[in-house]
Amino acid sequence: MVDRGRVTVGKRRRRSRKKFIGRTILFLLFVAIGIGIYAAGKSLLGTVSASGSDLIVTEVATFASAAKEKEIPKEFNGMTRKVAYLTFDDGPSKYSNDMMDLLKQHDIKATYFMLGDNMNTYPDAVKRMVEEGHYPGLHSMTHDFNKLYKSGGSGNFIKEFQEAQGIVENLTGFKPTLIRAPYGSAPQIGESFRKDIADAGFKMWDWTLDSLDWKFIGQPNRILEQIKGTLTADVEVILLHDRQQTLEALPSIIEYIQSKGYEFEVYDPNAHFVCNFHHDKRL
Amino acid sequence: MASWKKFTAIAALLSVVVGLTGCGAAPTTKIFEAFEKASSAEVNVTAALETLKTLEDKDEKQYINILDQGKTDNRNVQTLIDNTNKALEERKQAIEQVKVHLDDARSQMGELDKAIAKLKDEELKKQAEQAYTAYVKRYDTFKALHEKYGQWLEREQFIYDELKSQNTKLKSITTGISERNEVYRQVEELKTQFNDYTTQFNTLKSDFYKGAGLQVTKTEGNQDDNAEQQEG
Repeated sequence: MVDRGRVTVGKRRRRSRKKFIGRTILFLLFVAIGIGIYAAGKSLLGTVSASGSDLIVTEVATFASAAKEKEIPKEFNGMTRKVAYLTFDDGPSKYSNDMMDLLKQHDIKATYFMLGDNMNTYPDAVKRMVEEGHYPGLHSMTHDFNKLYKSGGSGNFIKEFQEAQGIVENLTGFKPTLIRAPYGSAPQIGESFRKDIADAGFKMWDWTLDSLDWKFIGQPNRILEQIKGTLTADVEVILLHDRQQTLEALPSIIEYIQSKGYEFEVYDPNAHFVCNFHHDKRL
Repeated sequence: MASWKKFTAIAALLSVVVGLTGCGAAPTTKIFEAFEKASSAEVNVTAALETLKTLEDKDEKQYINILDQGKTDNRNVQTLIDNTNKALEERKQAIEQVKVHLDDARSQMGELDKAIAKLKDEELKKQAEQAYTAYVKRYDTFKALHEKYGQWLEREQFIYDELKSQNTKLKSITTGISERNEVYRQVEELKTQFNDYTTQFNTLKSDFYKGAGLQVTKTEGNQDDNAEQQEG
């Protein structure tokens, strides 16, 4: 009897314990459900509750800049560098390839100022120019004085140079910014005209030495004489043209200039210097 | 009894599911916190950028002075060049400082794609995405800028070494300057891009907070309103 009683008590105790555990679990589950529903509601609404006071936020910083492009010294440590820029106008032409062969032999890079129509006629010359390190500058589409300078403003001028620029870019992938105005910039290009050129993103070179090669047809020696008589400055930007007489004179021109201690350079947009008749620093 | 057991099992399952659903912070909170952790981590960037600007300005002035004083004899400018070299080293340290802080800020931001995807409001989601994208692009731009800046400093060093040399050649200096100017332009372009993304991030972040109904106050003096550019 006693054993059966102990067993009965034991069973009753186990049953009570189970009930207690079960009820506790249920209670906790209801609490968890409540919390979960609350949190799910917050998540669904997706808002941060503003307690009434402002949240502090920080703005991130920008880079300022004080550096400039460095100027190339003409003189330093008692030395003065003498540099000559060979520049060729009105090309490309049927002489351009021979000219580039000659320049290559002497390891010289030149600066060309080309006409749009000629570029369309000799596109391979333009491509070769860029490939071999010459600078493909611009000289307008038409070289027409009245159209460029007598149309009442800079509109035609800018348009022609932009068109020529596009031709070079399409052919070579390079977008040149250096131009030379047909017949030079003085006196036909005034202050506001020059401002328009600068605003269009161009730089403009005239020259320091005119070889007058264009008028010495069949007389290459006269070109050399002209250069001999006028080669004086430490930096010379020499005006030449893409012509037969110039090609014939070129070997002797190169030899002479080198004999006077000059080094040949090609236009470098990263080392631009002012070389226009008006000394306009914008160009 | 059996029904009690069933009920308990169902209640347990339901509570786990709902509880898990409710777990974690609201996405707006997560995004806000990420944005502001990153932004706060950049607090010291301003000072480093100001140092860089000061040193760049100093270098510009010293260079002109060196060319002027060294025209006849570069022995006149040896000390000047040494001082400039020290400033180059300081610039290197300053840009490294900027990198350390921006790297930290980027890691503070973390990856927000999942949090952004959880936003229910489409407009809010778009704002958050744009702000986050702007920040990531800004950081990527800085990485490129940091590399270029290093190259720039190398070019500067070359120029000063040439200017100091007893056997200095003008042609070599000219080439060095040309190469330096090329890299300098690239750095300036990257600075402009970086600043554009900075403005975008600050603006888009504000738009997001506004859209989320957050009332915010901006801390003062953490940003130049306009990146100052010297005319080249």
